[in-house]
Amino acid sequence: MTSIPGIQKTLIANRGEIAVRVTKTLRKLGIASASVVHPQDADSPAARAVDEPCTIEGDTPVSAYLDGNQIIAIARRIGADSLHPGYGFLAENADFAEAVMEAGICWIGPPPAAIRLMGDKIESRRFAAERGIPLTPSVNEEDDPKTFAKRAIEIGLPLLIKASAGGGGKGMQIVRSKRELGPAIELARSEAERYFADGRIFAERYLDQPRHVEVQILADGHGNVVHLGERDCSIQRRFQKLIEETPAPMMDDDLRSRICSQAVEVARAAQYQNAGTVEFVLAPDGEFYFLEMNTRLQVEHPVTEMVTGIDLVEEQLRIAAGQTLSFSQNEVRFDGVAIECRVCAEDPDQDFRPAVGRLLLVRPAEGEGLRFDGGIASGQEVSTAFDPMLAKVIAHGRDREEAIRRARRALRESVILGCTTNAAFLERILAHPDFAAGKVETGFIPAHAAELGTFELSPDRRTAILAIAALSNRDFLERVRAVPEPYASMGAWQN
Amino acid sequence: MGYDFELDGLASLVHPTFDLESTRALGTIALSIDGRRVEAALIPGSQSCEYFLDVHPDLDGIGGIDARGELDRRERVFVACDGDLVFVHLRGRTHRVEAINALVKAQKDAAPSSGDDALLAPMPGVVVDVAVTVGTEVEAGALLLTIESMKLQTAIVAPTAGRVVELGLSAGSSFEQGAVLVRLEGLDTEEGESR
Repeated sequence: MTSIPGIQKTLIANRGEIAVRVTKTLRKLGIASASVVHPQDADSPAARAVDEPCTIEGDTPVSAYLDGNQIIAIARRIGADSLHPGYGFLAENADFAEAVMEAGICWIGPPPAAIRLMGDKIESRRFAAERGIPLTPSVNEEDDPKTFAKRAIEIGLPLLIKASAGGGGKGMQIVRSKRELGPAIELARSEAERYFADGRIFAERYLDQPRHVEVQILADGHGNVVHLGERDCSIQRRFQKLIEETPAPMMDDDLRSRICSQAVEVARAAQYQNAGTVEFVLAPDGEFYFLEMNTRLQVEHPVTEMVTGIDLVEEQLRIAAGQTLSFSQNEVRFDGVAIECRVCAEDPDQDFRPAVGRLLLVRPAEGEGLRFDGGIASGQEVSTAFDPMLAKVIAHGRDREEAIRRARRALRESVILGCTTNAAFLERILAHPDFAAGKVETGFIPAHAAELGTFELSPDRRTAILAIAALSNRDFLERVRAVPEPYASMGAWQN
Repeated sequence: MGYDFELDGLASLVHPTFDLESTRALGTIALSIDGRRVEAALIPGSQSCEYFLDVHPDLDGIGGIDARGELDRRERVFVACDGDLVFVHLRGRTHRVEAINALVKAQKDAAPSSGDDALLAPMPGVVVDVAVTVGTEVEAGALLLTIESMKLQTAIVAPTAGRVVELGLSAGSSFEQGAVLVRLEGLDTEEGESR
C-alpha cells in the first residue's frame, strides 16, 4: 500500500540528478520506482537509485530519452501506473503527455492543453495580452514577415530576438544597434530551426539590467491554485541560470504580493494543474512583465522546498492522482532564505567551455542547512552528450547572510575531482559585495567579469599544489624509489 | 631527473633532491620546486582520496622562519590521478595539474612519424647499463637501458612492444639532450600501454 491511492509504481522518463530526486520522494511514499536508462548511464546513481532500471536504446543517448513510444512501451511492460517526466527531454511535450494518458498511464504533469498553450511563446504571450497581463512590447515575424525588421526597430533598442518555440537561452540574440538586427534575425532563425525544428521568431524589448523573477505555482484539479513564493534567478550565463534564491532579495512585500498574485492569475486563466512556474522580467523601476510559463518541475525547485518545507514532487503525485491540495494559500509558511548553485562541468576561465573527464571523486559537503542534489558518482564519465550540470548545491539559512555563508562553505567543501567545474567561480559570485547587497540582474556576470576572474595563486600555495602533484604521480615516485642507495645518501653530503 | 608539472598554464620543474636521507624512511621527500627546496609528505587519511599534506620549507636556506608563509603546516587535501592528470582539492579549491614526463615530451617533440619509436634523451647524461641488443624483441614496459642524469638513474622502458633496430650507445657513453638512445620498430601486435 502506498500513501497515494492509484499510484503504485512510477516510471521516471529522465536521468541524472532529477531522476535521483524524484526517486527519493517515491521511496518516501512507498511507491515502487522505475526509470529508463541508456547503457551509457548504466552505472549512474540514477540507475542505481530506482527499484527497476529499464534499458532504453537509441542512436544517441539523447535520442533514447526522447523516444516517447519506446518509453510508453516500457511503462506498459513493467506495469507502471504513472510516469514522471522530470524536466527537459519530454517534460513539455504535449503529444507525449497525451500518448501517456491514452495508454492508461497517469501523467504526473499538467494537462496537455496547458503544455501546448504555454509551450508556444507567441501563443502564450497572446493569451496573456488578452487577459491584461503586462508584457514587454514585442512583434511577431509571422504577422507580416516583410515588415518584421521595421516593426522590431519601432519597439526601440535594445531588442531581444527569440525563438517562438524556444527555451534554455537557445535561439536568443540581443540587438543593441540597427546594424546588428539583420544578422541576429538570421542567427535566431537558424538556431530555432536547429534546436526546435520551428523557425518562427519574434522580437521583444530588452530591458537593461533586468531581473529574472519567477513564481512557483501548485494547482489541483479542483480549482485550487496557490503560489509558493518567488525565486530570483538573475545570475545567468548565456541566458542560463547559475544561481537561484528565494525569497528574491531587495523586493518589498507589496511588489512580492503583486507578482505572486499575477502568477496565480495566469495559472488560473490557463486552467493549469500540477506544478508550474510563471516567469517575469523585473525592470529596475519595479515594473514587471510576463515572460513565459514553464509547465514542469524546475531545476531550481529545491530552494522553494527548503523555505516552505513542501515536497513539490509529492504534491505533483497527489495532484496527478486527483487529490485536493492539502493546504490553502494562508497555510503556506516561508522560513528563511535558500540559495541554489548549479555546479557545472565547464571552465569559467575559457568562456564557460564544457569540460569532460572521468569523475575520480564526488564527495558532497554535509552540514546544517545543506542539500546536495546530484546524479553523479566516482568513476562516471562526463561527456558532452548531456547538459553540463553535475549537481546542485543548495543552502538554507535563517537570513540571506547565513544562506550565503553556508552555500560558500558547501561549495568549498564539496569535492569533485576528475573534471573542471565552475564551483570556485560560483563561490566568487557569492562572495561579491554586490551579490551580498542583493544587487542582482541578468547582466551580473559580464558586468563583474573582471572581479570574478581567477586570482593568481600565491607562491606558497603553488608550491604546495606542485608538491602534492609530484608526490601522487606514480612515475615520479617510482623514479624516486628507484634511486640506488649510494646516490640517495650521497646527496646529504653534497648539500 | 626533473619533472615538469603544468598548473594554471604555467610549467614548473620539480625534482627530488635526496639531501635528507634520514627522512625518506618516514615518507618525507625532499623536493626542489622551481628551485625552491621543500620537504613534503602525503599521509593517507581515512576516506577515499583523502590525505594530509605536510610541507615544510627548507629552513636551512635563506629566510628562516619568515619564509614559512602558507607552508609549514599539516592540512587535509583530496587528491586523485587520472594518468598524467592530478586533481588536487586544497583549501576549498580544486586544481588540475598535468605531469609532463620529460622523456615522453622529448619523444613527442621529436615525433618521428615513420612508425619507428625513437627514444630520445630527455637531458644530457651517461648510460649506466644496456639491457638489450639490436634485434631483441621486447614487450611494452620492458627495460631497454638505464641512464643517469643529474644524479638520478632513470630506466628507459619500451613504450610499446617492438624490436630494437638501433642502439648507438654502450655503458659509460655520454649523450646530449635529444640524442637517440634506442630505436624500436613496432610489431604487428596490440599497442602496449606505457603508463
